[in-house]
Amino acid sequence: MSSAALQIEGVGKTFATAGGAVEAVRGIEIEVAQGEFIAILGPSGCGKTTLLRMIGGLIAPSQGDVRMSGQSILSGGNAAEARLGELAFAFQESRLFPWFTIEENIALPLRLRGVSASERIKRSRDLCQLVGLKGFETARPSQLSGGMRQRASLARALSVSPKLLLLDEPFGALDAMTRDQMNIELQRICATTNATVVLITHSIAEAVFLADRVVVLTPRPGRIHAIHKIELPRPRTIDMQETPEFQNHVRAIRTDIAGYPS
Amino acid sequence: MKSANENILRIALPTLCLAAVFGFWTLYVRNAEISPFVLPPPGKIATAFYNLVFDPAAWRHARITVTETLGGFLSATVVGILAGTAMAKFPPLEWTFKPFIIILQLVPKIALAPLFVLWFGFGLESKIVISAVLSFFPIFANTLLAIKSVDAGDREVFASLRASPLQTFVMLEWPSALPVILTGMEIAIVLATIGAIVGEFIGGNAGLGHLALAKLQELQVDGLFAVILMLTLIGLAMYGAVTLLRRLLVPWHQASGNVL
Repeated sequence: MSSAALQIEGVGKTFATAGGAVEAVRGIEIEVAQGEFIAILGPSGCGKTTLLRMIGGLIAPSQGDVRMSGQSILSGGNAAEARLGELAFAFQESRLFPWFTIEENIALPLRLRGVSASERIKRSRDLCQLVGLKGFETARPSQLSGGMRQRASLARALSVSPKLLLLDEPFGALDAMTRDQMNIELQRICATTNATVVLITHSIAEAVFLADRVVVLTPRPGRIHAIHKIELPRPRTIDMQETPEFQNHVRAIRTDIAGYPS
Repeated sequence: MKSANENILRIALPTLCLAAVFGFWTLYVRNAEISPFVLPPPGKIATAFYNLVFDPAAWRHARITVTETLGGFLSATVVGILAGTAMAKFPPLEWTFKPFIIILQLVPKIALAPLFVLWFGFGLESKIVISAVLSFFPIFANTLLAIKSVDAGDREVFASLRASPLQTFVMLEWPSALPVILTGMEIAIVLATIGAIVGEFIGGNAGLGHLALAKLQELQVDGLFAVILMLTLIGLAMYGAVTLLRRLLVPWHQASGNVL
């Protein structure tokens, strides 16, 4: 049995719609090592978000299987449920709840698991420190900027110390400057937590900057078009984006996308 | 930024407007030789209201009207929220009962009032029932709609966190529905007051609705206006209580800052 943190085995999804069956994703095969950072890149509507939701157990694949540490998350029962408890999502919108303060929002996953109030607030405060929200623990989400809300959303995902972090364009709605800043923070946080990460994005530079491997998907139905290994040293810096090595990766991926089968 | 001037104007302008209306009213009644039995001048109404406020009998009537209104409103709130929640969570319940609730909603409910007096007597009970029937629908409909329209993305967060249905209800559905339910309650408290007064018109010998009719029959039109004024102030106080409830229960909601 493989010891890979995450195995995506021949996963495909077909949706039944009023206009007939629509195939969103087809035959995805990826094996992700513990602590590895994978970016999934593709054009809008290529099924990347569908793929991420299948990896996280939010929707069931039509074909194939998803395994965490060798255990299928689709098999039902306690073992699958335990694996699902080891992953966490952060979405494009922060999805913080206005009736909770920032620290209550961050502690929500722990509250749902029955962790005591004092323990979860302590954890929440540590996470505020980690994601740079110190001083905003008792603020309401509406009092925070978009970038700060995404930090809180990320902290909420990290609260359960997930082995697998699933990020659905978490900084997609932010301006370019804030986004660069958040990507540096994300890199630092990932190094601290050693979680395995799957990031969905449509920014080539973001994918190259963050990932160990970039998976390029084709337009619908989304299939794997190419996988690029990014062997740039870590920690990566904004300046590194100007280097020929970085630019070569970006160019290679852009050429890939230009060469989509029609 | 709001200037101090704006704050002054926001109070001064409506006050001036009210003074102008009363001034015009007084002059009109005096010069057009209108019988005070038809339209008394504001001054006479003020005197009648002053007398009403110091009349213990009036307060007894007021207490009865308030009891009926609150009894009806609270019953409608409890039943409306329970029914709305149950139907939102169990669609077959909605499919079974909603058509009938809609049809009953289309019946002019005021026309049912005499029937309730027949069934529940001339006492408080019939008025509470009329008041409850009138104020039920906005609370029910808002609860049902609000729980069903919880944002799909928010639901996905709870699904991804493996929350139980009860946890999802308590920490997501209920708090996100509450502002909309409170809007239904704001509409309902006004309807509940109307229900109580209509009930008092139809039967019984107590309450401000009954007192209003009595003043009319005694041709004390200034007294009638005074009763209407008292009813308005009571209605305003109860509406204010519901908006206060909004500030207490959903301080995080945008609309909670604005009263009136």
